[in-house]
Amino acid sequence: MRALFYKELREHRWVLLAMLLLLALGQALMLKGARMLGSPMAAFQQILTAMAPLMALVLANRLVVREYMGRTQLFLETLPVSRNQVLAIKWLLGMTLLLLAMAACFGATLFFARGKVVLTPHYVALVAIRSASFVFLCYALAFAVGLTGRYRYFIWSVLLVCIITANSSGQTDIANWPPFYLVQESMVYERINLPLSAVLITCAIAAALVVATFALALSTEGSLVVALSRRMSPREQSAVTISSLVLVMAISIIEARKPKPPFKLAHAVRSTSGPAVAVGIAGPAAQARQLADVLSSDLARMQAFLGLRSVPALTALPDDALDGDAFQRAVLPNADGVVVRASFTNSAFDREGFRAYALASWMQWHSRGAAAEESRRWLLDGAAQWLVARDLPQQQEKLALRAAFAARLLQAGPDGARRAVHEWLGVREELGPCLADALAWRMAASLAQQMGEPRFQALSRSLLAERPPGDARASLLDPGVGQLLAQAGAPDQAMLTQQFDRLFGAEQARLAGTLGRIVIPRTSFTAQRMAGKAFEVHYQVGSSAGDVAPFSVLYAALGPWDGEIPAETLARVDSVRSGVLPASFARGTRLFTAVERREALLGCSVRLAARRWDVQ
Amino acid sequence: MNAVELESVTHRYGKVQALDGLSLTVRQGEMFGFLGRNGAGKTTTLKLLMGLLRPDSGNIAVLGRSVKRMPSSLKQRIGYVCQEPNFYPWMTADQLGAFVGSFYPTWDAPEFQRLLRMLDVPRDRRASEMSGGTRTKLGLALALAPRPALLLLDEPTAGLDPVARREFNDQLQALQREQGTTVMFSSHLVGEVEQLAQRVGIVQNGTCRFEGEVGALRARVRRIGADADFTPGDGFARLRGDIWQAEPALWEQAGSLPGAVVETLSLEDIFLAFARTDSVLA
Repeated sequence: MRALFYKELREHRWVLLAMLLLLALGQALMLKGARMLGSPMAAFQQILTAMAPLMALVLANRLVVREYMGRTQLFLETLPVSRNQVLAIKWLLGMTLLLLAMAACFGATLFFARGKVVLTPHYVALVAIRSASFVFLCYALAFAVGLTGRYRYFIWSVLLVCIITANSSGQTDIANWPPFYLVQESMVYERINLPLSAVLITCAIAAALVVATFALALSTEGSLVVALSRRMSPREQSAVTISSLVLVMAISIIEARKPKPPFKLAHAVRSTSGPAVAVGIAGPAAQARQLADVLSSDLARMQAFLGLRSVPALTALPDDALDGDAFQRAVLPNADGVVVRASFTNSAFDREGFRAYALASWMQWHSRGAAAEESRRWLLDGAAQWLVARDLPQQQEKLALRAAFAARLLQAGPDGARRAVHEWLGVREELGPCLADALAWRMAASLAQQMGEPRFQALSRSLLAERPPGDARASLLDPGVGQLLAQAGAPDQAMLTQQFDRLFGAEQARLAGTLGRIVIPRTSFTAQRMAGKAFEVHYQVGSSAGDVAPFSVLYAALGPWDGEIPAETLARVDSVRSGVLPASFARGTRLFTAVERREALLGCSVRLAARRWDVQ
Repeated sequence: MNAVELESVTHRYGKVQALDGLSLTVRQGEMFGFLGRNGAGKTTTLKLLMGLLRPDSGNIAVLGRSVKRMPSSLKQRIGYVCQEPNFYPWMTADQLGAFVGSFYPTWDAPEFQRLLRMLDVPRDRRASEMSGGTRTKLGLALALAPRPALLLLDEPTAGLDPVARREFNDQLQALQREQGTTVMFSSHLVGEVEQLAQRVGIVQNGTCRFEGEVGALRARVRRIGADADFTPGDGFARLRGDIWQAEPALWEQAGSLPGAVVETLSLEDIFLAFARTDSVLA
């Protein structure tokens, strides 16, 4: 037995050492950043969640898969040691190593946390039990799957797909599943109660996996596991690949076709005719009904323009916490339809802007998000504004002024028009929704005028009204914007860039008198190091001496892969003078910052100095 | 006490009947050749004797003990060399010796070193860097160092070239003489079995067709060249074509019949005759 134990240690010592070094490095980094996480125990929770499954996989792979794939277990079996003894030693060795590694991490965390966190024996025991149960399950699962030899990748893939599917179905949150619940945030903060049922269920699953492991390894004198460990034949590889693809496709198609109940709002007035629109009552019912009828009429016009057979119900919810020109779209995991929010009772409520926002939201729903892709998003924003404003000369004048001002801001930097065509989401983030919508309207209206309405209609239908399949086929069937522009007889993107460049210049010249009256204050953000290692961010608007008109500072800490920033995730500080953001940031934090101020001449909020930058 | 006893043993791999009522006996101290075509059931029989497989039915006794539940103490008295030893590729011969030796209370480390020298196996070379022949010889050294009472060899020379095969066989004979170990080895090479074995068992389709000394086998199976209408009398049984089996005393009688010529056969001819018939030599 001892020989086998030492053999395993000797055979895998370098991999074990590398894993332990990685663990130590991860632990050190997490503890270093523990202040940002709120608690050193949160650092342990994160390292446990990431490293326990990884180490379990590596250990099981080294101890089991390598033995069977290398067929060296045949040599072991000829020695005077039974098959179940070999298996038990391997299982216990891996489990012990994993538990020791995690216990070392836990010990280091407790050492680091002393004096910073109240560490009662009860609390330490709670965290230890939760962690050990999770580690037990991770290793039992990795070991059992490792015995399935050549099918292990397939089984991992199926498990992963099942978990993702269950999570995305919206019916259940995997964070609340017993094994995951043990290591979620409550592990750090729960000091009184042990989630006994979660611990018991996790241990029961792990124990069942251990039983299954031994049953699999010992059945038919171990020949089943030996057979599983052989390499796949080309035919088998093809079958597994095809069945994996079929599984993914089937799940995505079933998910896409699963009917969701329509969103229902109890206290609402509904449109009297046309497409169904419900508006939540925030003020006088007659006002809400009027809005419902207007929105319904807009939907009907859009339905005719885009040639759609039917439109889903649109619901408008009142939200007094929003500014008059700020709109939001609700995410509906368990219901169907389009739900938008605005402050209807706000004296500055931008009714036409909201109508266009509702249309754009509906088009996003209809195209399953395809219309909101960066390459075509300007047309989505512009077409929605164009549809609302086409019979409203006053609205067109307002939009034209805003668009000219937006063009002035945009062309102050390099590649103004090119960025509007190719990098619309960045432009939209810099200008803010009000100016960006106006600029998009200018571009769409110009294109409609140039092409003539029938061809512009055809272009809008192909770019915005196609409803792709709600599964993996969508990416295969998308022809691309360039091809759709050519099919509709529209100028290509290079030509559009040139045309818009000239258009923006001409509009600024036409409205130069009005634009000249709009003052753009100097705005800046700077990071300054605090007493510790954190930074505070100072903002300065206008001259440092005097007060300026009221403005809002918007900011958000970004992840490495964050794309478009949803409006509701932006933190906001209202102010009339320069100051400091009410948060501290670690070095290297990616920040988005901007200043928004209400511009009376334009009738909307103007975003200034918007940018993404690293704190240092 | 016999070293090995198999009685009506059957074993099935799914739909394939590997052994179908195999009965066999290997005596203490003898070198027993186990002869059969590929797939005849030789490896299955040896794996059953090592306890790596369990029989579906029948009885197996090794060194006087049943192997239904192979205890480690019994396994410690058996040496086993398979056709393609799967050693840990990163281990050297010395490391393998230390590893394997720890499982045997009777492990003789000096003997292992002597065997390595004798078999010309480099001590400090990794298994992954050894040729197939050297690995087989290393397997033999590992199997002999604990001084087993029974040595099971599963086609040990299958992957060796003729020179290496001859060397291996010579050294095996010398070691068997020296240690007096009971050796049971399987092979489909008739010449090899004829050279090494004192007794042979011929297995075909999972059944033992013959078990006994090579000389006895050759005395009982001969070719009778004769006219087409020649028919021997009672006591003769046709194996295949003009190859007959009979008690040795009857061959003189057959040779005296008009037109009949009785020829002795090589073991290979006899094996080929068995390989193409279902007859069992009584």
